[in-house]
Amino acid sequence: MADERDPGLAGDDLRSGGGVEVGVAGYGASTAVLGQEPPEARGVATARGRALPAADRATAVARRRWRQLSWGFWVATGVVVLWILVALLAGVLPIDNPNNIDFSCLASSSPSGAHLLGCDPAGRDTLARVLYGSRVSLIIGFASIAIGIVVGGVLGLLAGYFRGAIDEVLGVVSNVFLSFPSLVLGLVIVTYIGRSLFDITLVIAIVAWPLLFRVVRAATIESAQRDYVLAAKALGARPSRILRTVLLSDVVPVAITYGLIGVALAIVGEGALSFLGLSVPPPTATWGNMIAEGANSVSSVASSGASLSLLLSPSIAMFSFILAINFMGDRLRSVLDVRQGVI
Amino acid sequence: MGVGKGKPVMGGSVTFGTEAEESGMDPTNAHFDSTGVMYARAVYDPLAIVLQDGTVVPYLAESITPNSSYTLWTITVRPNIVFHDGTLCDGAALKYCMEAFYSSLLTGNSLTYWKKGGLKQVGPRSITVEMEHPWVPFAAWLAGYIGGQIAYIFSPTQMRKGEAVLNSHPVGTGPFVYQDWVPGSHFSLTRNPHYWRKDTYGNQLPYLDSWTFKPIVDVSTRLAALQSQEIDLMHTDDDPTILEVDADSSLVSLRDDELLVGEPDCDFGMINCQSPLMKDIRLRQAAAYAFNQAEYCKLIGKNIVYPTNGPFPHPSPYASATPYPGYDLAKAKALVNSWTHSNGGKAPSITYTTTNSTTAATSAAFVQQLYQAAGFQVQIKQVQQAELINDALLGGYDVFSWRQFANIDPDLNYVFWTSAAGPINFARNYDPYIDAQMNIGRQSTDTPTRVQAYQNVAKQMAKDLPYIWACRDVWCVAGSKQVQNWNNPTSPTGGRGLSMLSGIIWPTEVWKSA
Amino acid sequence: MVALRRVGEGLVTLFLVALVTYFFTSKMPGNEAAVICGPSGPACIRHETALLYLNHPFFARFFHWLGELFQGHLGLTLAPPIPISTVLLAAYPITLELIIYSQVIAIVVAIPAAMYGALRANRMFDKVSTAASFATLSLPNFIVGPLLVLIFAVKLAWFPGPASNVPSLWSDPGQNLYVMFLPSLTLAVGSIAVYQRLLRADMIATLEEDYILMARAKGLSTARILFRHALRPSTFSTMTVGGVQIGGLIAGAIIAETVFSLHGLGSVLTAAVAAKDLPTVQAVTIIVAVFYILCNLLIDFLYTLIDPRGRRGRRA
Repeated sequence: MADERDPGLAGDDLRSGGGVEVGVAGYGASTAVLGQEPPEARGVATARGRALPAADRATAVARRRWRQLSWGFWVATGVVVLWILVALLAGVLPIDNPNNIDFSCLASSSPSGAHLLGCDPAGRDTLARVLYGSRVSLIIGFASIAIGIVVGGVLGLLAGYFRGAIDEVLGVVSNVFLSFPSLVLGLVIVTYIGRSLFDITLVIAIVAWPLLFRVVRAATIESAQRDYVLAAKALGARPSRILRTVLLSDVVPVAITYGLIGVALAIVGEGALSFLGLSVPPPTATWGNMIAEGANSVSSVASSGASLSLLLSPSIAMFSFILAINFMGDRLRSVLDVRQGVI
Repeated sequence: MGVGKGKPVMGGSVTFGTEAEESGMDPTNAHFDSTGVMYARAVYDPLAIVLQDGTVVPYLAESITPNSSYTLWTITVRPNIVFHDGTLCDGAALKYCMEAFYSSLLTGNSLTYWKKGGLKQVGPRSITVEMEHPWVPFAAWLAGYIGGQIAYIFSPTQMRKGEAVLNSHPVGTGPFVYQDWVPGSHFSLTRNPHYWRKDTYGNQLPYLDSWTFKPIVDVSTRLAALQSQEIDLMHTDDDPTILEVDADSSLVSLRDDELLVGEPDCDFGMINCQSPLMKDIRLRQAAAYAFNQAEYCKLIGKNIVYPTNGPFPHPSPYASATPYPGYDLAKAKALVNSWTHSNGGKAPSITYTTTNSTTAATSAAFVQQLYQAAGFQVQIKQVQQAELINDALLGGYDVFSWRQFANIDPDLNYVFWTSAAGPINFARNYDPYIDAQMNIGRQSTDTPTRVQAYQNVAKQMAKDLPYIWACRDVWCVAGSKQVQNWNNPTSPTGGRGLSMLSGIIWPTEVWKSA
Repeated sequence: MVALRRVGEGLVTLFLVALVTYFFTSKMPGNEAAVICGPSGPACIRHETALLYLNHPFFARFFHWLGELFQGHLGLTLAPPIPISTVLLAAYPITLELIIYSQVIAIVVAIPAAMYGALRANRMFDKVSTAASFATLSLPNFIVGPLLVLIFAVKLAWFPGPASNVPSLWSDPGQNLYVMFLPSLTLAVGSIAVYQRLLRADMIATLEEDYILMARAKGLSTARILFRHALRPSTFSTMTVGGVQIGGLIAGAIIAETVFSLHGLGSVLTAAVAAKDLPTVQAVTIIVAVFYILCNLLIDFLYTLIDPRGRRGRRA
């Protein structure tokens, strides 16, 4: 697992459009996007490597770029913040209880004044369910990645800084977890842990930590070779102090950027479990189980405006959130100059 | 409807979309529900068949006769019938099967009346079964309805091959031969060329070359598959879907609501009478008073179904008035209050378990509203179809949304209602009075006495309240127009057999017009 | 020596993968027995517990299971007791076809789109397709699948919807490919976006290489340059990512099989998880994991075979 890659791999040219392989979450609810085995990562990176200016210059560039964040970034941030507010405030918004059944809405459940997005076949307000559904997605998305960052981040720092046996062991362990397609691993752990909100958070965290571990480890290794770290070492600074320095200056931006993308991945992962009927059990509304419900009702020939709304509303909700957070992640990465091929 | 017009056509294949997959095909070991009974009828023959008027006549058996006191039953199978594997279906095979049923941990539960060692082969094709007590409606158990798995005679050769062999590769004498089973995908059978039955024209039965069951758990997908002709027949008891079927003129459909034999399926809230909360009769009474049957059957049941006050809804011959507590919110509130008062002021918080279909979700939310109005706190727990039975068995529930009890004779519910069989009495209501009445129903030869006994059971249930009755459940079987004669089973000796009860049909005499 | 080390590492990983699989699927002792027994009661549960080795300590059970696995005994599904191998043999062709078919679709769509985009970089088509790719990558396939059903099966009725019968690829290839098109497209959509973006970026880089300029100078046609000279060198990163993508494709297949009610490994796994059929969950998981590891090794091997270093050297 030779990860001490040539300095200045990857870089600016990828930002112009390439490099999605590690950049965007969503596709396949899987590791396909967020990194993989070193051989591939190395392959990806080296295949397109160019000799690039040193990192110092990149930092200066990054500072400039902070000011150059496009309006798109702020729109995306707005969307994410809006969803966070919705999730927090769903209880006080003027919407129905998501599990409440309106019997007048059972028969004709197309969108109307009383139910802006119509009702599901069970007579529950689709708008309310979509808004409340954000809670499950967001709680699991953020909480699981928070756990993943704490666990993966600490282990990654230790492994990346001290190398040696601890690195070997953690490398093998993370490798083993990454040897499963992530949705398969998720399904397996669900049989073990269970399906409550907390359980699913834990499941996603277990799936996610090896990826975050790798990101942080690679960033730590790279950072540990920088001049000022080597100098500090030579001067006999304590490891804890060096780790703190490394952590603050180099690793945190990486962790935050990939954490954001991780949140999108986690939400897609939860959505997939929900869609398969194996996440938080009904009647709790989740975007995934609503999409599954909508999918069922459109496949029946007697589908109507109601079933369209039932499929499209949660789909658009989820898509808007993932797109926004991916976009944020993508922009942030170019601004913070987090390398594409870092894992 | 569902009766073939004109001369039957030989050949062709039919696919039936079922509501669930089966857990196995070994009649001593699997538990056959509506789907399972159809699987079994394709590959096995039951010893008897029940006619439309409720009489039970021999089918695979040539005769089924009790002695005068109904304590010794003699069963003789028809001559020269062979299993699909060539084994002769004779007295020895019959005895082998009956012994297996008796020693099975599952079916043995139902055979508590049998005398130990009371099974004897008395002729080349005959056995006798000796009972501890008279068992009058025993023949009904041999007609192969739900619970009556001991009707299905299987090849001893196959059974001897090992524990799971018959369960996954069934071999019987039935109209179709097992070909291929991929659970969750399909259960495929081909025509048995040596089947013993002929139709009135002298055609060798069955008519079809092959038959496939395809479990499609999601009911809207099942209906869509029927409409796009991916499948030819399906069954469902999902009321919104029944309305959709009615509205589709390209389909032929039938319901089981004209049934006059035995009892139909009912929808009800099954209570765990041993759960810490629900063992208090006040809460069970409150649950019954809080339940607005009329509204429920109208809104959730789409007016297809109607309220019932016990396990024998109209037009069952066992129907009667019962003291079942009807909807009375004030009484429900008072009872919950009284319970709350004597339990430290905390409202009772119960779980309501149901499946994860749309209709189940609607129904559960409605029930939740009703119970909350009475002062209960209700947690809804939705489980997958596959988890259902084990959740009920393990007893970790308060109230379970349940559907059961369709049968040709109330005696077949003996194991579910008496305290004799342990965990299969899912509601865990162990009442000696019900036990006694069920025994009277089983042992009496006098029809009015039997009817009275079962009516007493229904009345007692209205007091014990192990079941919060909702509605009589209606099943619908729907098919494309090419599929003929699926509602017209006949007895080998003439006479039209009962069909449709609980969504169960016979594959034997189905044919497909060109 | 290096190869030997790789193999050794691989074996250790495989062993640990098996251990992890078994660990996560072996909680709830007695539960398997309960699933098998259903209404048959406690006596049956005791019997099955002994029969299934469930009353032994964890590692004894694990090594017993591993031993059986090595002899090719996957065991029986819990209910009904069908050999798991039978179930898997019936299911895997669907999953494999989904994965391969989707990649064919993805390549057929992505290569021309990427070429055209690269040729006219930053023009309208390029910008739109690049933005579309980015958006598509935020569209999970459990949204893509139902949308495809809605548009192409329900509204336009061009393709069959869910729960269609899939004839064998060998007996009726036309019908098979027709029925499998929408499910495969569900998986392909994400791959198209990934390939389009990668190929386009690589292609832009390749088109600046000297030998391409040479070829242009020689007056070769654009199409010839693109297909004969530029395509192959531009596929390296696409290929490596193809390997990485297999995990995503397996996940996608699970979703597509659910959306279209197909009987593949994914639906076997999902149903087994729902029914707590642990032996089946174990078997599917370990097989999928081994397949996944092997695929990645294969890609790794192919990659060294083509030797990107040569290419890098040339570039430098």
